[in-house]
Amino acid sequence: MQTPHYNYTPDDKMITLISDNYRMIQVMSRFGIKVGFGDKTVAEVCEEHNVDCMTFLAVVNFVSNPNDSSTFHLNEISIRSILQYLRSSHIYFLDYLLPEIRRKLLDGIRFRTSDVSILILKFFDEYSFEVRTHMEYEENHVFDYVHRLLDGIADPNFKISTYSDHHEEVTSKLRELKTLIIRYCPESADVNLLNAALFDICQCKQELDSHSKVENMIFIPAIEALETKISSREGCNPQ
Amino acid sequence: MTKQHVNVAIAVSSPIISSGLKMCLMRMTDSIFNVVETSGYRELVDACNMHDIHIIIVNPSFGGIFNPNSFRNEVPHLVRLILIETGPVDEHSRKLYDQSIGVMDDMMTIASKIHKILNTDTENIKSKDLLSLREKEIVSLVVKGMTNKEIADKLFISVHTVITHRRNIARKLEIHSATGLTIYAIVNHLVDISDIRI
Repeated sequence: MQTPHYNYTPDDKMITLISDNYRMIQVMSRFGIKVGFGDKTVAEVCEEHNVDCMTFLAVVNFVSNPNDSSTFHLNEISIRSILQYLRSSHIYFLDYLLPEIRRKLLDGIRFRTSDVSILILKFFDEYSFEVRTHMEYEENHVFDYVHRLLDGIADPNFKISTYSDHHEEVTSKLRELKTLIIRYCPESADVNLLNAALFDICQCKQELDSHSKVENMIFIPAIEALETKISSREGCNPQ
Repeated sequence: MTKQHVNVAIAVSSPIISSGLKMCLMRMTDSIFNVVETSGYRELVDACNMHDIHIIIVNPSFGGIFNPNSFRNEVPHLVRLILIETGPVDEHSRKLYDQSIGVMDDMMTIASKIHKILNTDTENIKSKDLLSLREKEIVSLVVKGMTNKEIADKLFISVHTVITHRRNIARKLEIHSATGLTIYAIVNHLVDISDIRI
């Protein structure tokens, strides 16, 4: 089936976005927008929640058409808003989704120490640890750097391009976990509970993919543009 | 039999030909084609890295002048390149591609050309799927915690050979982690769970 190619504008109704693609609920909540907005337009809802409308739409349009980066302009992106989006995505993955998957996995494989279920859980825990380390690195180093950059302070020892992206690794590990469970899960596993865990893993992979695309295609290019602006006009205060 | 899913990228600058190709692929029924249309060279490389693209249909003027050899070096995995002939192409350039399709080819011809590529690749994968005895031996030593050097000494082979074996094992099983390999080894009775320190 072909996904329709939408390009939303500030005057579209917020409800249309969600009717077209339920995954937009996730994007909204990352920006701090809650459901219950009646028939208001995107611009109205964003204003009410103090969200930069163009940045919100850039992410929405990009998540709807991940292969098309022509739907937004980098100079319309508010870096502070995109930082908020990325930060709440991290919270969602680390504090909600991964613990939730672990809980379902634990029940689904009917955990016991005498078979491979202990190894499946070990794999998952190692994986969660890696994701946490990766995201904490971003929070502590990359985002801090960006905040300083927003205050007009350039760091001669750090460039956004030197920060290498490990997302590919992060999602390929998740694919491996899925393969391991499907191929080698113990016979004693509970089918329904295990399926629930598997669906969550697939969803998590999809969301991590989308998260890393937003970082690679919107966040990093926007920071690169800011870096160029600062280095060419040393001393000026960027907005 | 379940249908094979094939990820295809279309790299053609003409939107008419690009959409036309997409429609043709979607009408083919013996495999399911997931099609990505790309509009620039970088986008094509990114799509290959993100979507595990198997086949790329490209026209020679894509992104200026498309160079199949340098493109193959940019993507980590094996991709099959199909040339879409929108104008005259010389024999030397055609040889750089795995297959070529003409804009006037009928549906049957296009389908058979694509399936020729798919069939060869499926055969290759099938025969490479199972671990050899030597590879199984190496798996059991790896999961017992031995280093490459220790394995090499024990089996009287070079460390380099051990590394090659391990790379092939990872590719065949699609398992790249030590824990994953341990799970494989226990389920296939190459080691006992009591031999493993968790």
